[in-house]
Amino acid sequence: MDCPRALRMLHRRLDDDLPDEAGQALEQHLQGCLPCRRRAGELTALTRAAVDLPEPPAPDVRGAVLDRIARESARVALPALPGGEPWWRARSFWAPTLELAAAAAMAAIALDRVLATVTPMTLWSGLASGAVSMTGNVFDLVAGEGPALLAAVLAQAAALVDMLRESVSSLGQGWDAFCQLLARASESLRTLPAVPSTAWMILVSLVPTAWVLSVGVPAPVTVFHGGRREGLS
Amino acid sequence: MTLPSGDDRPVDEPTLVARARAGDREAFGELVVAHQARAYRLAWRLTRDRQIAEELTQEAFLRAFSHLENFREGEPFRRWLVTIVMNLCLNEIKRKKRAAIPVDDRTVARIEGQALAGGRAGETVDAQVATRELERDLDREVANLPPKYRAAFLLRHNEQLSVQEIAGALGVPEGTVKTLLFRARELLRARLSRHLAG
Repeated sequence: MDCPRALRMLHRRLDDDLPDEAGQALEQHLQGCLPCRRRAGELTALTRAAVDLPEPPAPDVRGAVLDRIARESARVALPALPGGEPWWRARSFWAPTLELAAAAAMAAIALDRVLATVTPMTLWSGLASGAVSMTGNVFDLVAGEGPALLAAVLAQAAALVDMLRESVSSLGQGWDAFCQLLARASESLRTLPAVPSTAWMILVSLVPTAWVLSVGVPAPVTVFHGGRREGLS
Repeated sequence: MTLPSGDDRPVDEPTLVARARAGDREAFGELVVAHQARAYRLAWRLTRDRQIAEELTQEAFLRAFSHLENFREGEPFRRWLVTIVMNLCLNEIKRKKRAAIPVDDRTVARIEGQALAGGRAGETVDAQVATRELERDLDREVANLPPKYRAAFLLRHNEQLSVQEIAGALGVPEGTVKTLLFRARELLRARLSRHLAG
C-alpha cells in the first residue's frame, strides 16, 4: 500500500466506510510509515475536537414557535357550509358583482367629469361645425399655440360631416335625439347633490378593496383542515 | 425512541409526532424542547449570527410543523429536522453571501469561559488548555470553510450523522459528501498543524 492510498483509507475510516480487511491493511501500513501515522493522529485529534466545539447557550424557542403557529392558524378561511354555500355568501356571486360595481363606479365618475365640462350639444357642435375652435382650444391648452394645419384639417372634416348630416336627414334626426338624450342625462346628473371628490375617491377605493377581499388574499394565507396545517409559504 | 423532555420525563418520539400530526400543538412543543438545542447549535455554527440562528431555528420548527405529513414514520425526527435547518441555513448563507464569517472576540471569550469551566476526565491542566485552544481555533477555522464543506464537516463530526444521512440532508450523492469531508478535513488539518503537531 502506498501513502496516497493510505490517506484515502484514513478518511474512509473516519467516514465509517472502511471494511475490516482494508482496515487491517491500513494498520499494517501505519505501523511502518511515520508520516502517515502522524497524519492519522492529526486527523483523529481534529475530529475528536469537533465533537465538543464551544457554543453559545441555546435559547428556548418553544413559546415563540407555538405563538407563531397559533397566529398563523388564526388566519383561517371560512369553512365550507354543509350542503354548499348560500348564494348571498358564495364567492361566485360576490366576485363578479363587485367587479361590475367597481367598473360602474369608475365609468360614472368619468362620465360626470366629461359632462361637467362639455355638454352634448357643445360636443356635437364642435364636431359638426365648431371643430376649429374646439381643437384650437385644446391645442392651445396642450401646446400653447396650436398646430394650425391640424386645426384646418379637422375643420374640413367637420364641414364634411355637416354635409353628410344635412343630406341624410334621418341620420340627423337620430343624432339630435342622441344629443337630447345626453343633454337630459347631463341635466339629471347636475341635479344630484354634489359629491365631494374626496368622497368619490373613498367610494371608488372601497369597491376594489372589497373585491380583492372577496376573491381571497394570495399566499401566505394558511388553511386549517382538521387540525393540520397546509400550504405554509 | 425516548427523548429527554424539559422536566426529564422520557417521552416517546413517534407518539409525539403522531399527536403533532393530528394538530396537538403541545405535543409539538415537546418535540421543540427536545430538539431546539441541536437545531440552534447547527444554525449558529453555519451562520455565526445568534439572532439569525434563533430566527432560523424557529422557522425550521414552523416548517416542520406545517409539513409533518411529509415526515416518514420510523425516521428519527432529529435527522429530518437537521435537513430543514441545513437547507434554511445554506439558503441564508447564499442570500447574504456569508461564505466565511469570523467569530467576534466577545463571543469567543464567553464561549471559552464556559468551555474552560469543564474538562475531560483524566486530562492534565496543560492538556485541557491545549484541548480548549484547539477547539477554539478549530471553531474559527470551521467558520472560515466554504459553506458546503462546513455543513458536511459539522454534520459528520459535530452532529455525528452518517454519510448517508448527510447526503440526504444536503441533497447530494454520498460520493459528493465523502469528497466534501475529505477536503474539509485536509483544509482544517493544514490550517491547524501547529496545534495538531503537539
